[in-house]
Amino acid sequence: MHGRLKLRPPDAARRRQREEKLRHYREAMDALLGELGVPPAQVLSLTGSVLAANPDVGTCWNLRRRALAALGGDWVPSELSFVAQCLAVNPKSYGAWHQRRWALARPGAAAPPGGREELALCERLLGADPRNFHAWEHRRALAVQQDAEAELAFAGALLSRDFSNFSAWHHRLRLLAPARGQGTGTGTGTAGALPAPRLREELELVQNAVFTDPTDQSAWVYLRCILSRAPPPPRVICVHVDREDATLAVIFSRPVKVNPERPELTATLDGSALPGPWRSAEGRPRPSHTWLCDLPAPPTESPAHLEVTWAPDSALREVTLQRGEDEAWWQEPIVERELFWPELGVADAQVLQEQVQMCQELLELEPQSRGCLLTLALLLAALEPRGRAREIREHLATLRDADPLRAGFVADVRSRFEAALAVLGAGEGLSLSNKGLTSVPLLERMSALTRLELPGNELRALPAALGALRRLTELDLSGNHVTEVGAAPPLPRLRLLRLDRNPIGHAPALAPLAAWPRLALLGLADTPLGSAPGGPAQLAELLPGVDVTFS
Amino acid sequence: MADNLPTEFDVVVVGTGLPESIIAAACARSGQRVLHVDSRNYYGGNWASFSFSGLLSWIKENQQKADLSDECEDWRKLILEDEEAIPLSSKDKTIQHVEDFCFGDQDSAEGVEEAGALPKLHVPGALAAQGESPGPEKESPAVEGIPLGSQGSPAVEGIPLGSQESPAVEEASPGSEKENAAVESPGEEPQSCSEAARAAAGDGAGAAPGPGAAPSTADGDSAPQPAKTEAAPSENAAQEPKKITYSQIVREGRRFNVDLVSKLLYSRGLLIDLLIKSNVSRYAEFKNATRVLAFREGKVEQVPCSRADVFNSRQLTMVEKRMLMKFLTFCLDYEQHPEEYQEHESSTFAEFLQTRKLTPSLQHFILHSIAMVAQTESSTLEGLQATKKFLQCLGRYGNTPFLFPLYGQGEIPQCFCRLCAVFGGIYCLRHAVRCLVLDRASGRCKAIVDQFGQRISANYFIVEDSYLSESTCTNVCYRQISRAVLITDQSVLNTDSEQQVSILTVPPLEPAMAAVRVIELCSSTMTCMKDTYLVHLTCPSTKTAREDLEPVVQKLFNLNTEKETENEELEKPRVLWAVYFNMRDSSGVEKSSYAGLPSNVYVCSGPDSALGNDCAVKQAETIFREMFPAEEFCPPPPNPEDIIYDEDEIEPEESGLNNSPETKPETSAEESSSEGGAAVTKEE
Repeated sequence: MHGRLKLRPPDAARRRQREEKLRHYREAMDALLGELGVPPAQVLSLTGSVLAANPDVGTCWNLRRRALAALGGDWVPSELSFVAQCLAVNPKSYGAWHQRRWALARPGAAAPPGGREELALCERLLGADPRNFHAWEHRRALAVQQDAEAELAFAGALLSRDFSNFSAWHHRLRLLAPARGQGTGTGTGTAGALPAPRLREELELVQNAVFTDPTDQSAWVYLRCILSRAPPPPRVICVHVDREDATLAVIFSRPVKVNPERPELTATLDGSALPGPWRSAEGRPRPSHTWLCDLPAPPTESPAHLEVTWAPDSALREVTLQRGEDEAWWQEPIVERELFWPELGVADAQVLQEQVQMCQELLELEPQSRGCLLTLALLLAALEPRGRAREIREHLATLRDADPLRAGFVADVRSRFEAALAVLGAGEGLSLSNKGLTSVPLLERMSALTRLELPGNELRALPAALGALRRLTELDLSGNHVTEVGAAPPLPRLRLLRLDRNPIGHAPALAPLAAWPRLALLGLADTPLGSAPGGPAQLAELLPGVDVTFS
Repeated sequence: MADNLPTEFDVVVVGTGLPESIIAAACARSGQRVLHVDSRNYYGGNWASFSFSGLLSWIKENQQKADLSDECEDWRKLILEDEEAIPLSSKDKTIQHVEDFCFGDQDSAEGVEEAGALPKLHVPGALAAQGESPGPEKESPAVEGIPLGSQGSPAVEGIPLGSQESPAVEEASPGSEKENAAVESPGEEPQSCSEAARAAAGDGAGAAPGPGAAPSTADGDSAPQPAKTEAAPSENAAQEPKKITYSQIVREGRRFNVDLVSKLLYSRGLLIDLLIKSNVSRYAEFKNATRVLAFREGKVEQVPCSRADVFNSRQLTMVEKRMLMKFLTFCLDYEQHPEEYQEHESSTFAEFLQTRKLTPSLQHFILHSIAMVAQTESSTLEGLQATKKFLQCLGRYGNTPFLFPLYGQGEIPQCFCRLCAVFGGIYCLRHAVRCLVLDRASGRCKAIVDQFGQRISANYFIVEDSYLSESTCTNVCYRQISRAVLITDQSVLNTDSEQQVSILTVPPLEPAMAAVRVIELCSSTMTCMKDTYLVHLTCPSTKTAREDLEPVVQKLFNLNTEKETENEELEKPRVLWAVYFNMRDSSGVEKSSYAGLPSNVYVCSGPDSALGNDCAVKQAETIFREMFPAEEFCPPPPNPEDIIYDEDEIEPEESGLNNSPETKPETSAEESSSEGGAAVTKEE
C-alpha cells in the first residue's frame, strides 16, 4: 500500500495470464506439428515448455520420447528430473507417470541409486497426498526389490495418518501375499495364507480401524482380503455324454475359455481324439462354465469310453456310455467349504471364530454397520452355513434395509447363500421356492439335477448359465419376473418348462424354445400372453411340437 | 521527546494489549487517524512476552512497586472552565504476589552476561531493552512454522509469511553505529511502509512495531549469524546435554520469549479467522500444539482426540475406541439429536457422561482434556458446546485443535500494531496519558493530556482497564488469575520426539479448587532454550498464585535442588526456575460499572483466564462496531498485485525498499495477479 492506490480488477490480469499461456501453447504446438521436421533438440525444448505448464499433453510426451530415442546419450537422469518437475505441477498426470516408467525401463536406467530416488519421490508425493494412486502404483513396482518390513512400515505410517486409504491397505496386502490374485494356488493348498503371527498383527490393525470408524469401507475390504486366499484355479468338475444329442459336455469350476485352435481341453472316444471344435454352451467365444463338443455317432452295441484331459492340471476324467444307456456322466463330489466363501478356507477356524466374535461385539454397538453385517454374514457362511442359516439370513436382511443403494448386491449374496444351501441337500431334484433369488448361482454344481424348482423368486430372465444343466428334464420358473427366453441356451433333455405367472406378453419372446430338442410341455398359466388376442395361436405356430397350457 | 505529535486524531488508543491493538488496526485500516500510546516501554501490557532478562526486570519492578504518589498535577491547569478532567492512573495494580524461585545455583549466574545484551541492561531496576520491542532477534529464518491461510498441509516447512517484504531478513546486518541511535530514539522500522515510518521517524515518536522489526540492539559483533544460533547453546551442552544451569538460561536469555499470559489459538477460533481475514497472519508464524494430555491417577497420559489418534492409540480397548468415536461423532452435531441429551439438560456434563456407557478413563478424557469444563458446575449443554468446538478445530492445521505463535503469544498484539502502523497509525511507547478531558456541555470526551502537558484531541478514546483510576473503578469487582511460569529440564511426558507442545488439564485436587491448565512449550517454539521446557500454569485465583498452583507443581515436577531425591522423583521433570504471580482479570466487566465515563470512551479488558482469545476479539469487534457501524471490521488489505502506483507518486527511495518485483511500479501493471481479488477500500 502506501502511495496512491487504484483498484484494478484482478480478473483482467488473470485473463491476460491465461491468454498468454494459451498463445504460448499454440505457438509451441504449431511448431511441433508443423510440416518441417523439427530437430530433436528443439523438440525437447518445445515439449519441455508445454509440458512444464501442463503435463497432460499426451502428444508432447510422444514427440518427446521419439526425440529422446533419436538423440541417444545418457539423457535418463535429466529426463527423470524433468518428469519430477511435471509431477510437481500435476502429481496425478498419467502422461508424466508413463514417461517416468518408460525412461526407467531404458537399459541401465534402473541402477540402484535410481531406485532410492524413486522411493524418495513416491514418499514425497504420498506425503502430500496419501491417496495418490499413481505414486502407490509406482511404489509397488519398486517394492519388489525393497525390504518388505520397511515397506510395510511405510504403508503403516501413512495408514496411521488416515486409514481411509485403499491404496495403502492394498500395498500391505501385496507385500504380505504377493501371490494373491494370480491364481497359482492349487485348489486345496494354503497358497496366499499369512503366517499366523503376521495374520494376528494385521487383524489387530484392521480391528483398530473398524472399531474407530466402522463406516470406513477400506478396512473391511482389507479384513476380508487377508482372511482369504486366491481362488483355486479352474478344473473339470463334471463330464456328461448324451447319446441322442451326440454331445459331450465338460463343466468347469470357474469359467474358462477354450481356444478352438489350440485347445487345452482334449477328449478321446475309445482312444481316438475327437476332432472338436469346442463351443461354449452359450454359443459365444467367451469364458464359460460349460463347453460342448459334438460326437461322431457312438457305436450302439458296445460301450463307448470317453476320456477328457484338461492340460493345465493334467487331470484325466473318464465316462463310459453303456450299451442301452442314453447318457453317462461323472461329477466331482461336492465339498461344503467350497460352496460358500471358498477363498476363506485358508484361515483356520479358530481365527475365523475370533473374527465372528469381534464382529458381534461391534454389531452390538453399531447394529447398522454395513461392513460389519456383510463380513459377519460371510464369516458365518464360511464356518457353519447350515447351523447358522437363520442368523445369516437375518444379517443379510438387516444389511439390505441399512443399505438400500446396494440392495441388489445384497440380494445376490443371499441368492448365492440359498443356492449353496440347496445344492448341499440336493438329490435328483432341487427346490428353491420363494427364496427371493435375484440370480441362480452355482448352476455348474447342479449339472446332475433332473428337476429344478424355482417358483416365487425375483428372477428377471432365464439364467444364461443354464447350459450346465445337462440332465434337467423339468424346470419350474413360475411366479418370477421373466419376460423372455433371451440368451439362455437350449437344454438337451428338458421336457417340461413352467413359466406360469410371469409377465410374458409376446409369443416371439418364447421363439428360441423351438430349438430345445425335447421340450414337450410349456406352462403359461396366468401370463398376459394367454389373454392376448391371437397370442396362443401365434405361439402354436412358433412352437409346433410343444403342448402349451394356459390354465 | 514526543512532544511535537500532531494534536488531532480520530481515535486515541491507550494501552497495547490484544483488544486495543486489534481496535487500533481496525480503525487505521478503515481510514481513521490513530494514535496508539502505552506508558510502558514494551508492547502488549499484560499480554506481553519478555526475553529472560526482561522478565526478571518485570518481576523486580512488580515486586518493588515503588509508590510514586507525589505525582505532578501540573496538567490540571490545562483544563478549561467548561471542561472536566478524568484522571488516569499511572500505577499498574494488575499484578500481585510475584514470587520467583531459582532451583539451580543462582550465584554462579552473577556477572553472567546475556549474549547479545547491552551492558546497561544489567543496571538494577532498569528495565531491559530500552525502547525496543521485547522480542529477541529473529535471526533464524529456518524456524519451522505453519503459515496461516495455506490450509490443508500441516507439514509445510515454515516459510515466513512476510518473507516477500521480509522484516526478518532485513535485520541481519545492523551496523553498530546505528545501534546507539536506535536505543536513543526508538528508531525506524526497516523498510516499513512509507507513511508510517516517515511519520514515526520524523516525529521521533516511536518505532512501528512488528515481529522482527525490533531494531536489533545487539552489538554488531555479537549479533548472531543464523548458523550460530544452533551452535551457541550446544557448545556448552555438548558434554552433558541434559544439565542446564541457571547461568546458561541467563546467557541464552535473549534467544527465547516468555509470555505473561498462557493461551493457545483455537484453529477455528475468532482470532485465527481475524488473522486470516485481515492478512495479519503474514506477520507471524505458528506451530501446532502436538498433543493433548490428561492427568489421571497420578500419571500423565496422552489423550486420543482425533480419528487418527484413536486408531493409533495403544491404551484404549477396541470397545473404548468405538465408544469414544461414537460419542465424539455425536458431539459434532449434537443439535441434530436433541433426544440424546434433552433429559440430561439440567444435570452436569460429568453426570451426562456417566450415562453414556463410557469407561471412567474416557469420561476423564472428555470432561477434562477435550471439553475442559468444570466437573461440578458445567451443564450438559456447556460440555457439549465445548466438545464440539474442540472437535471442529481438529484437522484444520493438524492433529490437535490448537496453534501457538512462535516467539510467544505476545507477538499477536504487535502484529496488529504493525498493521495499524502500515495504515498510518502513530505509535508512542513510554508515553503516559494524564487525563481524559470531558466537555461539560456535550458530555463527551474531547481530548487527552499527555505526560508532556500536550493536549491531543480526538473523537474516540480506547482505554485499557489498568489505566483507569481508582475513583473510576470503585464499583468494579475484579477476578484474579493465578499464574506460574516454570523452566524445566524435561517434558512431563517423554516420547520419541522432544519437540512437543502439550496442553494438560489437571482436575481440581480438592473439590473447592479450580482445574489447572498446564501448557508445556518446547524450544522450537522459541520460548525456551534448547533442552529445556517452558511450562505455564493457569487457573482462576482463590488465593495467591503460589498457594493455588504449588500443589499441582509438586504433583507434576521435582522441586528439589539436590540429588538426594527419591527414585520416583527422579522421573519427574526438574524445575530450574519458577515465578508465580496473580494477574487481574478485568474481562466481563460491564461498561456501566465504571463511574463517570463518557459515551465515546471505551474500555478494553486485560487478559481473561480462558484458553482461547475469543473474548478479546469479540470485545474489539463490538467496540469498533459501536464507533463505526458502517465500516467493515479489518477487511483484507489490498494485494500488492492489485495496486497500480501513480507514476508521480513513486519516490526514488521507495523503489529501493520495495525491491520485490511484484511491487515495482513499472511491472505491477502487467504482472501476474493474485487469486484473491481483494478490494482496496482505503482511498486517500
